[in-house]
Amino acid sequence: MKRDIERTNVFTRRALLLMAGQVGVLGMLGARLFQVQVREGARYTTLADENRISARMIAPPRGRVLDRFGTVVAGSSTNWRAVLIAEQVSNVPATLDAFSALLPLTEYERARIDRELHRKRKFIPVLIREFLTWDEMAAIEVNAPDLPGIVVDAGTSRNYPFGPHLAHIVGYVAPPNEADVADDPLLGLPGLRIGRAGMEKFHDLGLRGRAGSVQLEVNAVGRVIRELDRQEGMPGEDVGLTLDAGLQEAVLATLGDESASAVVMDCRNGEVLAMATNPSFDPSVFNSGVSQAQWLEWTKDRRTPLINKATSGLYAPGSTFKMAVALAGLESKAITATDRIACPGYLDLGDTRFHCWRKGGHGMQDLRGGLKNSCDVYFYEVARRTGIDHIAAMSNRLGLGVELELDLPGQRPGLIPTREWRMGKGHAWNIGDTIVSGIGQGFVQVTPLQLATYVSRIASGRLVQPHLTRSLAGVLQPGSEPDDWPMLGMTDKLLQNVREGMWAVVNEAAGTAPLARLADPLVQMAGKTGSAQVRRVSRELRESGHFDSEKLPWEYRPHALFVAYAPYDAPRYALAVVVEHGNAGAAAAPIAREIMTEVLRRDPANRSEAPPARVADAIIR
Amino acid sequence: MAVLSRTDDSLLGRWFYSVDRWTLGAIGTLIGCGYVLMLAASPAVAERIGATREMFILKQVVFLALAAVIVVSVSMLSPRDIKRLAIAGCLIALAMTAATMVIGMEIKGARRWISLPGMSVQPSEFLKPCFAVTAAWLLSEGKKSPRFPGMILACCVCALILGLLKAQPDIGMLAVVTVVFLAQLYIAGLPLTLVAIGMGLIAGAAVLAYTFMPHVHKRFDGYWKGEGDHYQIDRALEAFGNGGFMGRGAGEGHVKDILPDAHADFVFAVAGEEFGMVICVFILFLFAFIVLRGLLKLLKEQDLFIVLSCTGLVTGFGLQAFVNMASTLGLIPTKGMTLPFISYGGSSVVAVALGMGMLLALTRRRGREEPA
Repeated sequence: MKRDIERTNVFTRRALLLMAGQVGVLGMLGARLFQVQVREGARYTTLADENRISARMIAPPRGRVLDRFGTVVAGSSTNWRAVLIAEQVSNVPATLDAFSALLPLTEYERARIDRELHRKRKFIPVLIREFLTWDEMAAIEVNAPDLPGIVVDAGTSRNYPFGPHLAHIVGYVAPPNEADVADDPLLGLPGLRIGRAGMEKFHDLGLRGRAGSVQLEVNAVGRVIRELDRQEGMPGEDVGLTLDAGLQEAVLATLGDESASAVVMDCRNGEVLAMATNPSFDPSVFNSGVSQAQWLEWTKDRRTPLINKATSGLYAPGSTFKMAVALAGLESKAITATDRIACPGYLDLGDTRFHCWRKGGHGMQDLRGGLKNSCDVYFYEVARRTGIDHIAAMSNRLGLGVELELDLPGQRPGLIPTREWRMGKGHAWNIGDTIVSGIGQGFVQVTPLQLATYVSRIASGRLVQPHLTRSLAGVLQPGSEPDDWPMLGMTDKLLQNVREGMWAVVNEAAGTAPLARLADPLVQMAGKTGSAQVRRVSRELRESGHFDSEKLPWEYRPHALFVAYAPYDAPRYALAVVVEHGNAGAAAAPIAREIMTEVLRRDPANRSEAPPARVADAIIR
Repeated sequence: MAVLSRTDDSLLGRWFYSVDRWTLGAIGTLIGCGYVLMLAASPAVAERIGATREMFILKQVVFLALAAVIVVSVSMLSPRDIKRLAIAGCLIALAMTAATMVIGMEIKGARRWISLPGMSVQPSEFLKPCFAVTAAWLLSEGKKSPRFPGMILACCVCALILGLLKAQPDIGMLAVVTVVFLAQLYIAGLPLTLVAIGMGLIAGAAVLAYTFMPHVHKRFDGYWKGEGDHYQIDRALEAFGNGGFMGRGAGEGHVKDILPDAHADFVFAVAGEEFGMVICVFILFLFAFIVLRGLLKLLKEQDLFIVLSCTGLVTGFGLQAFVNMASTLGLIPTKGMTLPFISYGGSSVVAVALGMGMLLALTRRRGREEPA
């Protein structure tokens, strides 16, 4: 019995020990639970918050582009889009199938969605379909429970009320590519567009605005429970242009079907009031992507609709260059305004004969007569006396053959040849090159914008630079006052010699462009014609007497140019017109006259003193 | 207790009067918790593996109901019936465990399951309670009659089982069976020197395994230094932290979407995330209650067979719960071990119910005339 009791005691002790062990082990679990759930809970909660809190970016509305009177030339309109947020869906194909049942998705669309789902991070919404109609949008919203992760959002699409008429200036937006997205993750948001050309590109950062962000608390299935934090983005800034959209349309209407361009500038401050190039393209096409066929059509068209002829079309200036040659001669004192030069219809230099456009010649010519009659021999001689160095320096000073400070991408500088340039090409400069340059032929190449700037500088005597941006976010930018621009550094008397010649071209009966004379006798226009040969006319052909450029195929006909400013006595508007293959220089004159009449009628420079648009309006829109 | 009073003389009445109603209640509560957590965790898992959630849930509901029936009906048996049931069960389970070597299904690298029509069975789960009772019987018989080589037989059976579990491999179950048998030997009065020697041997074996078996070495180092694949543990710990004290609310958990075994081995993490520390401690308390109450009752028990059986059953039950919860909490390396009554899985639930039924039957209040 004693042994029994002893045995029981041993057993009791051991059982109690076993129990203590079990209690210890379970107590350890309890302590661990306390540690993990309560004491370290905060840390793990933070980790888990990454699952719980979903930060989304809010795309800011893109700023508008306005003309000088506040007319919208690039704006945004509502675009209903269905997007899929992959991280909120467990079965993406099933969701897409459900979507297809409502709005059938093509195989092409499915492939694109799959590709984007693969490429983009899971929290970035992927576009399924955009430009939904109201009914389609409603159908998706009603069936939302069957379409987890699919959200309809009201995006914006870019629209261009003036379409092709301002395409080259306003430019266009297009979906960003992967490199762009790498630079700025904001661009990864669906529907966000990046400026690809024109003002949309130049002012892209300002127009884009700053992204806002919203932190949302989502539950286990990704549904938004509440908004934790919201940082409003900055809407893009409005860009006010110097352009008058109405004038732009009028200019284009005047150009008609010609492959041509025209630039109207305020010659006192360099504001570009119209910059037309014809033909053009519809910029809104780029919003959704351009088809191969459309692209081919554009690039194969010899009238080059994709090229802004005003800033990157290069033409020999022809006789419009003669003012630069004259000013170079006057300033270098190689000639005086009253020096008389005989024109027998040609100039022989060594064994080369340089012809005047007028077979019989012009007789004795002074500067005024040389300009008025556009006498080639007179300017051959002036060029010979002045030398290419002075001519090139003067041309550059007047804005020819140099890159201008225009706020528009895609400008070409053109060329005013110099000795150094010729040496660089492996040739010595010879006197013949100077002679040919004297009438704006040979190597000389300029753009219509340079011609307009050149005329502006002659007319105003100021070193104006052409510019298109007038205001940013409603704030007037410097450059709108004449006094913002330095003087050219030439005496008014010197310039006046040339201005008088230009006046005579238009207003004297024997001038080369009487067709350009304005109807209103009180407002007079000064101008100069020009024609740029596309193909060298051989001596045999010229001497055979059968040369008639009208009979040439279109692409070999010379370009017609005209530069002008008005009013003559108080210069306001400068104008350059280039009609490609327009034949004689006089062909551009009537166009110039019509444009200038319209400019003076509208008188945009005088109506534009009020700042275009208030910032407040921009936010309300 | 209006339905069943102490004077009620029916079979059910007598059972209800004699059974340990506190333990029964705790088991019932555990089954209830298992039901709720299964509803929380399973739909996400069902969706992921492509099963219909109705089938998935229905299956477990059936098993939980079956478990309740087994607990009650087994607890009605007399200790003698339990002895017979356990020995028969032990033999059958041994045979089936051996059969897994031949006809078993391989799931996640281990051959533990036998495929039956409509379900798969893990026979080693049944081995655990049956062996505990069988070993208790062998040991107690050995004490009673010195000629019966109870100790040796029990050791042989244990060795056989351990060999089979090693071959599957099922290290978690092996550890549980080992500890259960050691606890029984210890309670049976094994000299402490031998206990110490045994523990020394285990420690020595562990050191040898660490030194000479590269994969053990690697596994242990990985665990100790926090290297290797601890994705599941990290997610589970995040879930616990996320749940905090009160939890995120039913159905609001996230871990069940991420962890493949959220409904089985990691169900405790789901509980922690959705219902918080409160429910975790409650579940912990239920396990502790069943274990401690079982052991406390033994202090008054005279019958060695019953003492040893219950020690084994309770230890195995508690240890299994501990291993599961501790590995979910990142205290020990993950072992494929279920949380009794809570984890998804038919074999586990039924086997645990069998063990608990046996415990209740053996701890029932008995009249003097009812021999053990």
